[in-house]
Amino acid sequence: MRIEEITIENYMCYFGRKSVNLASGLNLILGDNGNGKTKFYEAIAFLLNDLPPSQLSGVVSKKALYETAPEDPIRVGVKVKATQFEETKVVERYFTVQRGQDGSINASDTNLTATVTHAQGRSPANGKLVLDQLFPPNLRKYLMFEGEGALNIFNNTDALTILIDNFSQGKHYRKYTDLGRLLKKKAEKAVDDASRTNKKNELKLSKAKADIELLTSLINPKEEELHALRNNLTQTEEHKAQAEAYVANADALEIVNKRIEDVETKLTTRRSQLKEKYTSYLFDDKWILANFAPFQVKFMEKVEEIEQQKREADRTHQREVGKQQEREKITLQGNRNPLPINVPSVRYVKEMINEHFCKMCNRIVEPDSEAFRFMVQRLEEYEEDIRRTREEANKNKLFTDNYLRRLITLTDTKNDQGNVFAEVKQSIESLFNFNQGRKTDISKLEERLEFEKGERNEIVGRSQIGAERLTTVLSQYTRWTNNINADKSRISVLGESIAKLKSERAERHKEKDRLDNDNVDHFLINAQNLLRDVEEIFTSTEERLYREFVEDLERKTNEILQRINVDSFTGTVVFDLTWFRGDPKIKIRLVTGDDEAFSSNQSLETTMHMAILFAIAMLAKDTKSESFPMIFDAPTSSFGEPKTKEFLNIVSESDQQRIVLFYNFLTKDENGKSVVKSDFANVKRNKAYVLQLKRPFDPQQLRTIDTLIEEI
Amino acid sequence: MKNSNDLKNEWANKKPKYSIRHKELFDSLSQKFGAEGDRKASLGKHFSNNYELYMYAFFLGLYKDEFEPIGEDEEKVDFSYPIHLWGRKSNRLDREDFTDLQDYMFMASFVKSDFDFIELEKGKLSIGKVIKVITTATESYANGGLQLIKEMLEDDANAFIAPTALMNIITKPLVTSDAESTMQQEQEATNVD
Repeated sequence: MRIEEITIENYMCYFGRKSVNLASGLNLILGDNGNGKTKFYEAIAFLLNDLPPSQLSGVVSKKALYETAPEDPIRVGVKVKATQFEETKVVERYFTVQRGQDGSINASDTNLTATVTHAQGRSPANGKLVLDQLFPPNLRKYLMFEGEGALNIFNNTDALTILIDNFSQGKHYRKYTDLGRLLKKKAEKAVDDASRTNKKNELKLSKAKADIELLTSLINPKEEELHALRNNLTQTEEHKAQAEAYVANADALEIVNKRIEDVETKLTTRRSQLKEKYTSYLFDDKWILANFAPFQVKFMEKVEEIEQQKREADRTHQREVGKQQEREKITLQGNRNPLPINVPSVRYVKEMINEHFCKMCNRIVEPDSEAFRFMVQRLEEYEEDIRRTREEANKNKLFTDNYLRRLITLTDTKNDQGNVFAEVKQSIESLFNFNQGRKTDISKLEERLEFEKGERNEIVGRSQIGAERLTTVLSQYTRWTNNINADKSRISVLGESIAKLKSERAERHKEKDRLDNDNVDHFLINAQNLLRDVEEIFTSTEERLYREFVEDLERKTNEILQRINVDSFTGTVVFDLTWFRGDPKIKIRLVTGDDEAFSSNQSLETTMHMAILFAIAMLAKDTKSESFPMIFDAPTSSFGEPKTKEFLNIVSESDQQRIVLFYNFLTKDENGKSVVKSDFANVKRNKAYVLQLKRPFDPQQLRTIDTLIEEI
Repeated sequence: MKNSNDLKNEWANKKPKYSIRHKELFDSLSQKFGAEGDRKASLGKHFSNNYELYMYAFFLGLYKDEFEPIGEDEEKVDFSYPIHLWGRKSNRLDREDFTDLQDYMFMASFVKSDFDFIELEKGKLSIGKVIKVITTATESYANGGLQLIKEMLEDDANAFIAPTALMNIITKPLVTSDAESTMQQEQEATNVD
């Protein structure tokens, strides 16, 4: 089928009647944004799909509404004239509107009319019928593509299967395959029925049939599981391929994240080791005593002084009460003040006497020496002193209290504690050194952390996605990889299991056939076998034709793909054809030379889908199937101009009709008018038009808008 | 009640006072009823409780030789916590017992106290009067220290911001009398020559 002419009347920005004549091969319609390119595409869509009544008034040319008097009818429509099988067919969808005096707009219902011109002349025809002939409904979604994203139709795996189904020669065998299957089934049933009526081998036959049924009941779910697993595997491999683009970065990110975590852990440890509660240490660790030493000395001196005073006062008192004689039993050289009677204690005096050794002056004391006698006398005096009754001892006592004793104890205690003040100073110094060491470590670790974070920022910056998504991608990638391995393993196991079961079932079938052969008339058996063979032939022929088509398609697709993406990496498109319950299933994959899936960018994705479309169209032509025009609105948005040019050149090589609307190869002159660039001359095409808004126009007023179509 | 003959214990049963004019120091620098760690920091307090500030002021006054009796006409207040309880660990987490700092405060206060010890031992001087003298010495050193703290903050409101500020002030080495006399001797020798 080839479109000869498209006419748009009072539709959107097209005021009045505007027509384009189209040729075979490539037809290009250039238009800047806002000049009617998409409205052109939508006009054709209106013809094919109609619009709800509520939307009709919205598509009427505002200029037509403005310039037509109230109550006068305005015709709005889109018409296509096409050639198909040597007939000229015209189909039009139109409606009329009237503007009321009050400004309201009333639209009629749409009408779909057609005429067919053949050798016998022209005659009216059923509009819907003709439209469906020109644009088969089951193929429409493969003929019109609005925007680049619409080209990714083969992301839906059924879409490709449907399309191939329409164009491969295999489809012609479908009805025969179905018939053959049916006949085989009938023949097998006839044999089965006949076999059952024969009682001979009844048990064995029942068992064989039961076994076959059982095996079939085991095989079917496994086959379904296998089919689902294969689908799942393909999807997972695609996800993995998409993630692969990021994984290299994600690996590096994971490494640097581990390093950062390590440094942060060390930092936390070092910071926790810092001891900086200095005010608390003043009290808890007695740092507040750092300068107390001289004051302790003063206290000790004062206590000593008081003690001396007290002993002197006591001595004087004792002398006064007449105990001088007793007291002066022992006098010291130089009339010195004797020590208190209990110093040293009686225990230590006894010890020194027993050992004949003075432990105060570190000398041997001979038993007959003056020093020895002195010690013995002291001991006797002390023992006599403690023998006295409390009453006698208290008689004429000078001091009623003994606060001094506790002061002395306090002094002794502090003495015994050693040099606490020196220890304090040491403790302060030691802690400061410790903290300084930790702070030096912390400083170095902070520097390193900065560095690692810088590294991380660089990695994330190189990636197209943020750090969090990179981490997510890596964990998903790992999961997908594991799933793929698990699925492949399971597929292998299932495959083996199914094969084994099928083999067993085949044996049972043979057994059953042998029994049938024995039971049933040979004519029936031969008929059954014949029909089995016929079904097998049709099935294998259909599968072979499909397979050949798909192989050709794969080859053609890759040729076109590489040409479009000249000097770029494209990978290879692989078509995986499988059969499930008699239906073909086709999946496409983009792989590297090592048969590994990889993720493509938008541009490659688009060209891959277009390559498939064009390849199918070319093969359809080769098989003498009918070809249909394809209409693309802005299919090359992500292409640059060089690639667009190359793409168009390839497309132009086919004489199959392509209508492409796009905005490339245009620039603006000083008046804002679109001008075709000079290098457009190098673009091969059969027809080219440019869409322009008629000047002058007011960009704020739709009623001034009218798109002109000028042939280039 | 039997006399314990223990001056230190008698003194530690007292609640030493401070001048009301220093109340704002207690309000701003310490946390009544206690605060430790992050809570102390979050309240902006340097001392966990009032008696810590009092002890700090005491030692500061002692080391800087700022012995300033509270004026007769000044109103005196205390924080209702006798000395013998100061520094008990009780339920203060992350802190140690420092009740033995009381000994040192007593020792320094005793040295500065002027009374006839022999008369005390003879029973001719009441223990109450003696304890009052010692406690007054304690209060005077603390008052001197508080005054110093107040002056430091008036000079620089951020004087105690640094974590080591309070520690540095009180642990700064003193110029000893020995060092002074050495310097004086050197000066005299120079004059003779």
